[in-house]
Amino acid sequence: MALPWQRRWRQVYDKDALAYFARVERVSSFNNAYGVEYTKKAISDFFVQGKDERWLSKVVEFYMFRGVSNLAGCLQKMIYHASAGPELANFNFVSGDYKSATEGIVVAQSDFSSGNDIATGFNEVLSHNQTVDGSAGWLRFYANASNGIHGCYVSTGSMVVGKRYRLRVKVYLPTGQASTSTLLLSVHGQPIVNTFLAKDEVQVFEATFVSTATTPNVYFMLRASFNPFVGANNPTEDVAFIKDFIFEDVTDSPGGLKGNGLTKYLTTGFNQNVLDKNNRGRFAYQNVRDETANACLGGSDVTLDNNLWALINNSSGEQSYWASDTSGGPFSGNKVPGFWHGISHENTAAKLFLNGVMQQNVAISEPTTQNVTDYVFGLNRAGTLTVPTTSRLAVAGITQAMSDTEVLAFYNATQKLMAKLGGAV
Amino acid sequence: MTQEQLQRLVALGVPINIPPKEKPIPQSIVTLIAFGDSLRATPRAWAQLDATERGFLELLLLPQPAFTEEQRAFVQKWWLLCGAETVAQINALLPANVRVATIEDVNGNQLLSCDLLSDSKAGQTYAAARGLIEGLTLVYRVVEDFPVVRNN
Repeated sequence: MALPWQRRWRQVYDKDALAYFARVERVSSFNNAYGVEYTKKAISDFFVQGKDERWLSKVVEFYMFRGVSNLAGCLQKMIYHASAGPELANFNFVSGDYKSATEGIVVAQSDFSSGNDIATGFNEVLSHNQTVDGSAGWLRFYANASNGIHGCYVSTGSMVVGKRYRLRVKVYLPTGQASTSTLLLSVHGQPIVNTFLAKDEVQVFEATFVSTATTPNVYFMLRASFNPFVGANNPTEDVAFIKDFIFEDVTDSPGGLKGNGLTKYLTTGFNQNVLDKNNRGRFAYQNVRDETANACLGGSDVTLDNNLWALINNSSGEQSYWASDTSGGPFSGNKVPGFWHGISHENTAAKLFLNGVMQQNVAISEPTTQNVTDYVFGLNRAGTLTVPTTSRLAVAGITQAMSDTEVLAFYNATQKLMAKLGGAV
Repeated sequence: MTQEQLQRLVALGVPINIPPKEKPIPQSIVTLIAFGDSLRATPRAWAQLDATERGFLELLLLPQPAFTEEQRAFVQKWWLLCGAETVAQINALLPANVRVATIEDVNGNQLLSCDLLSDSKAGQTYAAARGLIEGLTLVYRVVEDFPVVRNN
C-alpha cells in the first residue's frame, strides 16, 4: 500500500517537493533542458525516497544549486529549518557563477521527427514519425524475431576514453508490452541502463558515464529476462518508442555554483546552537574541488582554531570535518570531488564520509555549541568571511547525526538526483 | 604585435588564446591592449568609458551563460573601488537576500569584484543598484595586492 507522501499517479509530486517548487517559481524557474516536469520528478523522487528510507527527517537544511534556471533559484533552500528561513542570502555571486545542467558539448542528437536519422538497426523494424500520447515524431522499433539478435542502434559519434558523457532520451512503452520487458541502453556493449519500465508513460532516461572505449554506438534493446524478444514481428510486444535523443560530452559540465575564493559566499541564517553538539552533521557535494586550505560551509563565534564546526580543508588540502573545540576532527587524504559528509555522533567522536564510505572515525575533544550562523562557500568567523572556496558546489547543507546506513542511503539518493540533474561526479 | 605587447595582454587577464608568432594579430586585440593599458594608467568607472571601451568590457564579462575559466581569471584582476558608505547605499537598494561585500587590499582599499557589472542590467541580480555600481572606479589588482589569509 502506498504511503501518503508517495506518488499515486502521473504528475503528482511529493508535498514537500511541491512547497520547494513554489518557492523557486516565485523568483525563478526550473531547468527546461528535458522539460520542467522531468526535473521536478527527479526532485520529488528524492523526497519520496528519503521518506521511505526514513533519513529525510534528519536533513535539517539542504541547499540546492542544481535543477533551477538561474542564480535566484539557487537561493531557495530545498529543505530548511524553521528558525533559519527558506532563503539563502547572496553576497557577491553573479549569474555567471552558476552553471546549469544544460551545458554540455553535444556529440550527437536527434528528435527523429524527420526520419530514422542517426538510428539504424539490425533484425528489427523501424518506423519513424509515430504518434505517442498525442505527440508526433517518435521512432518506433520492434523485433524481427526470425533473426537471433536484435537491437536499435543509435550512433553517438566519436567518444574519447576517459571523458564523461551524458545520454538522455525519451522512451515510451505501450501497454501491450510483456511484463518482463526491459530496456537496455548500452555503450560499446557495456550496459548503462537495464531496468523494467512502466508502461504507457513517457519517461526520460538519463545516464552519465565515463567512456572506456571509442566505439561510437549506443544500443537500445527490449528483452525479457532470459529470452530476448518474446514477441514475433509484433508491433504491440517488445516494441519501444524513442525521441529526443541527446548525447553530450559533459566532462567539464556538472552544474552548480562556483565560488571565487575571495569575496563570494552565502549566509544561511542557520544558528549552530539549534542542534545538539553530538547530533549534527554537514555535507557538501563538490563538482570541482578546491584543493587549497578552504571551507565549504561552517562557522565559529571566536577564532578559526577554536569552537569551529565546519566542513573544511586542512592546510594540506585534505578534506576534514572540524567538530571539536580544539582538536579538529576526522579527515581524509582523498583529495577528490564528491559527496563529503561529516557526522558528530557522540560528544567525543566524529566521522567523515566520502560518497557514503567512511574515511575516518576519531575521538575529539568536547565540542562547544556556538551562537553563530553558518556561511556557505567559506566560514563565518565571528561575522567575517574567512577561507572562502573556489569549489563548485552542487548541494550543501546540514543534517542531524545519521547512522552509517543512513549516510549511505542519503548519498545514494543524492547521487541519483545529481545524475539526473546534470551529471554525478 | 610585439612579444612585449603579448605579455601585457596576458598580464591584463584578457581571455584570449595568444596566436602563434607568425600569425598577424587582429587590430581589435591591439586596441584592447591599449584600452587595458589606458585603464590601468588612468582608472575610470564604467560610466566614464566610451561606447567602444564599454563594448570591450561587455565582451570580456558576458557570461556564456556561465563564466569560462578565462573570464574568471580576468575578473580576478579587475576590481571596483567602493567605500563603506557606498556599499551601504548599494545594499539599501538591493533585494533583501542580495548583498555586496568588499575585500580589502594590502593598502586598505575596499574592493568589489568587477563581475557585478555583468549582472546589473534590467532584470538582473544587481539591477537595483546599477547606477551606483557603474559609477565605481575600475582598478587593476594582482594576487600579491591582497593580504594572505590564514587558513587554519
